[in-house]
Amino acid sequence: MPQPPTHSSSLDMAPREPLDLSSGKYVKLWQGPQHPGITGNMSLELTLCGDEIVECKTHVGYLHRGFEKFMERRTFIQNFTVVCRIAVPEPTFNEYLYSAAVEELAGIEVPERANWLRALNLEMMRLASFLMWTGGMSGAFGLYTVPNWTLTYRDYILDLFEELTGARIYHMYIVPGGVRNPLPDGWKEKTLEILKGTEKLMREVDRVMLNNAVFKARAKGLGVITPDMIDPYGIVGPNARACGFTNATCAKTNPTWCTISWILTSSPAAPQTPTNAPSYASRKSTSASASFARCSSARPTVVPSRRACPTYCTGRSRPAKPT
Amino acid sequence: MNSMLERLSKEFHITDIIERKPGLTTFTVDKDVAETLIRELRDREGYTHLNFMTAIDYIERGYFTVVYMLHNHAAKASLSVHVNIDREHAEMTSIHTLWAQAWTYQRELRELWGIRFPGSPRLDEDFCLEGWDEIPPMRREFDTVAYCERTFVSRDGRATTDPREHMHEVIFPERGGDR
Repeated sequence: MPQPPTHSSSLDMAPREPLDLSSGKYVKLWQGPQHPGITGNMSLELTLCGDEIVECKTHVGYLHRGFEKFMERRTFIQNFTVVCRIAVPEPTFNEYLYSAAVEELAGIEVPERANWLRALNLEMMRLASFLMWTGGMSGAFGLYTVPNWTLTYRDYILDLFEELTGARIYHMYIVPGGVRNPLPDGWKEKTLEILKGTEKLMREVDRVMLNNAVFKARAKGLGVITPDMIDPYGIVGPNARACGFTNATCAKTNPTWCTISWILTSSPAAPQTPTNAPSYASRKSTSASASFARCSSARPTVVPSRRACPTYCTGRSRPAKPT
Repeated sequence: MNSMLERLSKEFHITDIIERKPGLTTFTVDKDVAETLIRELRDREGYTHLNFMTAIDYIERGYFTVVYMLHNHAAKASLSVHVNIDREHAEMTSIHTLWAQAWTYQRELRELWGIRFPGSPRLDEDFCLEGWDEIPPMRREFDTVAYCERTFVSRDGRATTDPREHMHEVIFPERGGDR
C-alpha cells in the first residue's frame, strides 16, 4: 500500500513552473460539470501525464449561489424558506443553524423537548444523507446494486419526514423558537421498524460494497487523510474523526440509528402516550411501512445506554425520567 | 484564555473583546499587526485550525470587517479575529503562507467583495463568476433586483407579489396594518 505524503503545518504554495502543454506529454481533461462522479455543477480541470494527475484546478461553478446576498433583501422569516435550499441532501442542518443563529441574536430559549425533537430530526437527516452518499459512491464505482438498496431506505426515511413535517425534502420543521409539531401517533413504531432494517442493510452494504474486489482495487490507498493534513486543509467533522483525530468536533460515535432509537425510546421527547398529533401523510407512510415490513428482519433494535445530550442540544442537564 | 487575551491586548492593542458564548470570543485588531497576531495564535497559542474567512460590509461606516475564525482543538475554543479595512482601498495581508486553504477564501473575497490580498496565489482567476464586469456582487451597494431587470428578460404574463403587500391586500384586508 503506498504511503501517503506527510504534510507540514502549511503546504508549499510557491508558484510552480507552468506545464508545457505543447510538449506532447500532457493531456488536458475536464471532469464535470456533467459527470456521474461529480454531481452538481462543479468541475475539475485536470492535467494528466499518462495515468497520473499532475495538476488539478477546481471550478466551483454555480454551486456558490450567493445565498447571503439573496437573504439581504428578505425578512428573518422569509429567509427561513431560503436556507433549507442551500443543500438538497441535508437541508435540515441549514434550518437548524439558521434557527440557532436567530435564537442567539434574539435571546430566545428553546424548550428541552423541542431540542430533542430537533436532535431526532437532524439524526434522521444525517442517516438519509449518509444513505444517499453511500449509494452515490457505490454507483461511481460501478456497483449499481447498492444504490438501489440505500435509496430505497432513504425513501422510507423521507416517508417518515413527510408524515412528521408535511414535506419530503425541504421540511422547515425546525423553526426559530422550537419545532413545528410533535410526533404523530404511531410514528415512533414505524421509525424503529425502519431503523431495524437500516441496520441490517448496513451489514449488507459492508459485505457487498466495502468488501468488493472492484471497490478495494480502485479505492484502497487513495485519498488517504492523515492527522497532519487536518489543519493545513481545514478538515473537520467526520472526515477528521475518521483519520484518527480524536479532538474533531462531530456527533457522537455511536451509529445514527442508535441515537434515533434512544431519542424515541428513552429521551424526554420520547412519546409516552398517544399525542393525537396530526399525521400529514398517513396514507403514504402506511403504504411505505407495509412495503417496508415485507423486507425488514426481526432483529432487535440496538438501543444504547443512557446518553448525554447531543452536541447540538443546549447541554443542560436532563431531568430524571419518572419511573 | 483571559491571561492570553490580556497579554495580546498589551502587545497587539486588540480591542472590543467580547465573549459571545462559552468557547467563542471575538476581538478586533489593527490591519498592520493582524497577520503577526494570527501567526502568534497559530504557533504559540494552539489556534492551529482556520475554520473560515469571510467579510462583513459595513457600508454606513465605510469599512469592511474581515473575519478570521480560528479554532483550538485542545481547548475546544474558537477565536474570531476581526480586522477593519477601508472600503475604498480594500486591501489586506494574505495569510496563505499560514494555511494553504486560505487562498481559496481570499479568491472568494477578492471576487465577491473586491478585497485584494497581494501575493495570494491565483487571486485574479475567476472563482465562481465567469466574465463578471459589474461591481463585486456581495458589496451592499450592488442591487440584485436592478441587475436582474437589466440582464434577464421575464416571460410574458409573469407577475410577482410582495408577500407583505399580499398579506395586507388579499389575506387580511380587514386588518389594515402598519405599512
